[in-house]
Amino acid sequence: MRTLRVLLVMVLLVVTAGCAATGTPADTGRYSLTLVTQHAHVVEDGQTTVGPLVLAGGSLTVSEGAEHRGDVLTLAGRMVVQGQVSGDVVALGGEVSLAAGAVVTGDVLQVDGSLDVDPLARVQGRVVTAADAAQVWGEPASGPTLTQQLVAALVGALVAGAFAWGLTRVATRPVRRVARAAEGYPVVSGALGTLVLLTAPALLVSMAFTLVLLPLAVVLLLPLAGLTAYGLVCVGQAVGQRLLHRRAPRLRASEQAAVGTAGLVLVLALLGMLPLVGLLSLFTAGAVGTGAALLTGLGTHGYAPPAGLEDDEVLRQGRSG
Amino acid sequence: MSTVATWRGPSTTAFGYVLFVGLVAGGYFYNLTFVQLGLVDLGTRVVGLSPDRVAAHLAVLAGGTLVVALVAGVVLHRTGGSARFLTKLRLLSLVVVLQTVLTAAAPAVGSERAFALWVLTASLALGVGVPAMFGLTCDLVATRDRGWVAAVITSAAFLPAAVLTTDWQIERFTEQLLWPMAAGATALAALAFAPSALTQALARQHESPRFGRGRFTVAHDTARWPGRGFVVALLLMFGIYFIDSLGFLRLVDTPTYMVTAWHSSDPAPTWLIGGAHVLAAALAGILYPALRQRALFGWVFVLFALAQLQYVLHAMVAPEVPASLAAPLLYAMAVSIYTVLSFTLWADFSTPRTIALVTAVGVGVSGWLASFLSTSLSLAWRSGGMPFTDHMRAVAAISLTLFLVSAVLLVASRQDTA
Repeated sequence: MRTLRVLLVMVLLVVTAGCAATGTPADTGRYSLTLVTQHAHVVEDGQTTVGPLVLAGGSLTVSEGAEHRGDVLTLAGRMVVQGQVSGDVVALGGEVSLAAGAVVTGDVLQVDGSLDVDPLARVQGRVVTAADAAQVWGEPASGPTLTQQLVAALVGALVAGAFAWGLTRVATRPVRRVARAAEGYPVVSGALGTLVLLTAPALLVSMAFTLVLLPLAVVLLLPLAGLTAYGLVCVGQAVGQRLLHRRAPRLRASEQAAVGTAGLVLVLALLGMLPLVGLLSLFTAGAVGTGAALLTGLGTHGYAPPAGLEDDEVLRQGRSG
Repeated sequence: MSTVATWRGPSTTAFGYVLFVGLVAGGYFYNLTFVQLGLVDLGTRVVGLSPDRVAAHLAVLAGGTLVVALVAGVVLHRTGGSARFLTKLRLLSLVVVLQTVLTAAAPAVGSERAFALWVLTASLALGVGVPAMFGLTCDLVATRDRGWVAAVITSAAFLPAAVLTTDWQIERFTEQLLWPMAAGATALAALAFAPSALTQALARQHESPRFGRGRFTVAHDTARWPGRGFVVALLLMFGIYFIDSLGFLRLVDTPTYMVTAWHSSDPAPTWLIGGAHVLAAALAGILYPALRQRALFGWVFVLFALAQLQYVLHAMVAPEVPASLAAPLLYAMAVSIYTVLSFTLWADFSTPRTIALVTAVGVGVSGWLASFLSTSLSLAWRSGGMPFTDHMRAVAAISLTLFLVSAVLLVASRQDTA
């Protein structure tokens, strides 16, 4: 949640910079975003502050007779309104207090943190607390029905199967190499994939923090997702081959991949209905596929453990080439 | 091979594994907690020394341990003790006895002179313990099992260190360690000095190639030791210890980051850190025999750089907001991975004849020399008034540079099994 908040700040900064660059006019012709991270600040009677305001720590009080023109977003810290806020107040965290006599011309929305609205405070828009925030954001009160989930799983399985069929038609040998590594060395593949899937998000978030590298982080997210999808297709190919090579020996590798991947996705989707088990199953399959893809250089070569442990039964069995 | 099989039963081998895990995990836990953390508390709080004076004594401890380890390694190598199981076990039991006495005496240390004497004696025990303890690897653990055995040791040392020892006070460490150490020292002395069929069986295990032939001695001519692979591994491992120590020394002095992680009063962060240690150790134990070692070195450098950069970013961007656990978790993962490497690597460059010397050089130079230099450099930076962000940024830069070096070495030596 905290990472999300800081990322939101970064996004706001980028948006503000974008507004300034494109010349979007603000009320007073100035372009600014106020970010409060520490200490106690007070906007005194008669003073006016302008522009979006983000409270990420410390405290800010808009005193009686003072005005803030612009939206307010609180991530942490304490925001006290005794005067007027000409805009929306959104609480993602921290404490927001609207005292008696306070005026907010827009909406007051609480997603997280605490919100205290005095009965004598006046909110011209809507006041939405965390309890009913989901409805305001347009989400249904309850999740999808079982039938909807099953249909979604079937559609997902069909799409995944079609993707696997196409990919294996184009790159039959690489997919089979990765599939052999996943099948022959599932533990090693899973360990490598786990390491990648645990550390890569941290790397991408760190890059996003720098702002300068934010576009690069977004660009790198795509190959990571592609790598995991490719790995899942290869695991699907291994599953398809294992299930079908005796029952339907005439099927091509692409057809095995299609059936195997569709079945794998369907099973994962069904397991996904169970708490924790579904997530662990998806992570395990993704980790094994990702690790196998990396071990084989995306299928450009087979995987064999380094020399020096030739007498190791575990490493010797199922060696892929 | 067949004659070996006649006297080596699975229970003997299993006992050897348990013995090795107990010895190394216990030794490493002692080093992590009592020596590295308790000593700082003893010097600053009990004796009343300035942090810089304590750091200077810690540098002496590291330097002294390095010298003693090298001398002990050379002596064991020249006298043939390297290949004699009982010689190493007896030396180690004496070391544990000495460390038990030091543990009991630590809270009574009241002056800088006594503190210095304690440090010198501790460096003697630690130095002799390095080749004696790591030299037992070829007697007790089969080459193919060293990855997971190292993972178990790492987990057994770091999980309790993270979870049980959050206040880092010398009296607390003494209370925790003294009686288990006394019992362990007694049992170890009995095992080492009372001849038995068990120790005789263990003493001959290294004659089997499954135990005595290190993974990297297969591809390298042992007559040409130290080979290129050993030297590269030594330099990279030195780099890892150096950046770990240089970064952590500054983190320890920054309460903002300690109270939300290693020193947290809430058990959740400490359990999460302990869990990260265990998970990363398990992954490293699996990947050690499956990947080239330089790939794992690369991972360690990347993880360290990531963690250090996260601290820098937090300090620069939002110091008011409490620090997230991502950085300490990444830090814990990096530490566990390289610890698994350090428990396996040097034995895998060795034969029974060379293991005392190889482990003394490997652990001494990479571990203790790196600690000595990083402590000295940290002192110099601190006395120069270097801010936290600059300190961590410099360490992250070194981490990333070493990552690039290991990546280049990995690509340049794809045919090299080491």
